[in-house]
Amino acid sequence: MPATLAQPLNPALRDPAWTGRLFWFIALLILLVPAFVATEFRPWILLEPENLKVSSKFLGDFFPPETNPEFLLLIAKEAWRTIAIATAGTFLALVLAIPMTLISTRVLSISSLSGRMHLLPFAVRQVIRWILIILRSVPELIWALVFVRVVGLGPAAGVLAIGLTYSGMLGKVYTEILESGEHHVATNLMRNGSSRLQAFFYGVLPQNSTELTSYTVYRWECAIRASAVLGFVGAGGLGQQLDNSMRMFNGGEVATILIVFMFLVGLADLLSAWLRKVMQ
Amino acid sequence: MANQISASKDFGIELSDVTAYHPAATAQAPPAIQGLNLSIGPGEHVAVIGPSGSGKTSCLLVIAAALKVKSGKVSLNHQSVWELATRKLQELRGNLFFAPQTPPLPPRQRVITALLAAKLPRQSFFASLMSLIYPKDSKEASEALAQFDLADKLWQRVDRLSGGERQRVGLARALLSPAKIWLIDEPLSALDPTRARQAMDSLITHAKDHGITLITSLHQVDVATSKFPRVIGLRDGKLVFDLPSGEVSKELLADLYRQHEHELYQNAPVLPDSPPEPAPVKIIHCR
Repeated sequence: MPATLAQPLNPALRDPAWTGRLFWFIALLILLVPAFVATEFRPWILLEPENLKVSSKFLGDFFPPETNPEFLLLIAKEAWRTIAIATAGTFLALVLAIPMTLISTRVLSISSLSGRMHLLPFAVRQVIRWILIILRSVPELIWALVFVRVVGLGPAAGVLAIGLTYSGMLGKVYTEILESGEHHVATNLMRNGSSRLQAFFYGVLPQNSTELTSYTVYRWECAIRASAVLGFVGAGGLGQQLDNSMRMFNGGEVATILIVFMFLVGLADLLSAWLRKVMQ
Repeated sequence: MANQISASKDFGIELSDVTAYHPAATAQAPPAIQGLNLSIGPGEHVAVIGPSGSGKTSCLLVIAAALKVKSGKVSLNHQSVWELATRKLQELRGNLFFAPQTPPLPPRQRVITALLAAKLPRQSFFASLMSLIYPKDSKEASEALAQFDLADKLWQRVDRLSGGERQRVGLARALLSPAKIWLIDEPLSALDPTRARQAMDSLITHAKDHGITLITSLHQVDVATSKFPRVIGLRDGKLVFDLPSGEVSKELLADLYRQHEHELYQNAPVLPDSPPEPAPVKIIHCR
C-alpha cells in the first residue's frame, strides 16, 4: 500500500493516458443526455402510485401461469412450429448468405494476391455488399407483412421474412468474420495455385468454423424470438398464440408462453455452448 | 502423363533487372529487391543466403509470382509472368510451391488435411471436396510424413504439434505438391541440427528424383555451402555473388555479413535441450 500512496508524488510514474481517459468518459456522459431527453426517458414515473397499481395488476394477472393440459398441448405444438419457422428461416438465410459471402469477401480474391484488386471483381463485390444492406435494412416485420399478403396467413410468411432479413445479416457478419480472421493459409493456398473454393474449404473454413457456427446458432436463437413478433402479424407459431392471449387479457396464458420462450432461448444457448465445446 | 507435360515444359526461371517493394512498405522505404538479374535452370538446386532484411524472402516471393515487381521482367517457362491474364497466372502458380517460414496450417485442421491441401492445384473441386469428406491419399501423405520422422502424427490435429513438428509438416507438404519449382523460405529455423540435416536431405533427395528446381533461403551458411551446388548472396536487396558453392570463400561471406557477424556465427545449437552436437569450429565447409 505505501508504494501506491507514494506513486502520485513521482510525476514519471503518473499514467499519462489518465487525462484523456477522464475527458472521454465525461464527454460520453454529456453526449448521452440529449439521447435521454429525446426519448423522454423518465423511469421514476414507473414508481408513481397510480402507475404502480396498473402495472402490478397487469403483472398480477400473470400468476398463476396457465397449466390446463389442453392449453399446454396447444402451446407445445406451437412451440414446435416456432422452432420449425426459426430453423427453416435460418436455413433459407444460410442458403442465400453463403454464396454472397463467398463472392463478397476480399480474403478469396485472387487478383488482390498481388497488389490491388481488379476493377470488375471490385465492382461485383460492391454490388453484393449493397444487396446485403438492402436485405437486412428492411425489418423482418415488414417482409412478413408483405408475404402474409402474398402467401396468406401462416408460418410460410414467417419463414420467408426471416430468411430474407437474416441472409443480409449473416452475409455481412460472415464476411466480417472471414476478413478479420487470419488469412495467411488461404493466401498461401491460392498463391500455390489452388482455386478460390478450394482455398475456402481447406484454409478459410477450418480457421473460422467455430466463430461462424456460434454466430449462426445465435442468429437461430434470434429467429426464435423474431418469430414471436412475426406471430403478431399472422405469421404463425407461438407469437400468434401470444397475440391471442394478450387480446383476451389472459395473463396466465401469457405467462406460460413467456416461460416457454425463455426455455427455448435457454435451449439455444446450451446448444451453442455444446457446439463450441465439440468444435474446439 | 505428368511426366510428358513436364518434358514439354522446362520451367526455367529468368529474372532481368527486377525491382520489387515489400507489399506493406511505406513510400519512402527502399526496395526489397533492386536490379536483380538471375537465371536458374530447370532442376537446379540453389541456396539464397544473406543477413536479415537482405531480401531473401522477397526474392523467393518474386520467383513464386506472389510479389508483383515494380520494374523488370520475371519469366517462368519462357512466359513473362506479369503479362499473363489472371487465369493463366493462376494455372502457372500450380507449378510453383512456395513454403513460407511459418507453415500455413490452420490450428484446428488435422495433419492429413493440411498435407493433402498441397495437392489442390491439380485436383478438381469435386475431388478436393471428396478428399475432405474421406481422405483418399492417406498412404501418400503418410509416406511424405515418414520422410520427416512424423508418420505417427498423420491423424493428429495441427495445434497438438510442437513448433518444430509443425515446420516439418510444412516441409512434408512440398513432397505432395505437383509443383516443378519449390521455393522454401527458411526451412530449418525451428529445427535442431539433427532434424535440420534430415529434413534438408529429404527435400534434396525428393527434388533430385523428380527433377524439381529447389530454391531455399537459409540462415545456416554451412548447410547452404555443403548441400547446395550453387549459392546466391543477397545484401540490401542486391545481388552480391552468385557462385558455385566451392567458390564461396570465407572473405566473401565475411563481406556479405559485415555488420551482421553474429548471424554468420550463430550455428551453435541455440536450444538448450537439443541433442549435443560437436559445435563446428569453422562455419564454412567447402566440399
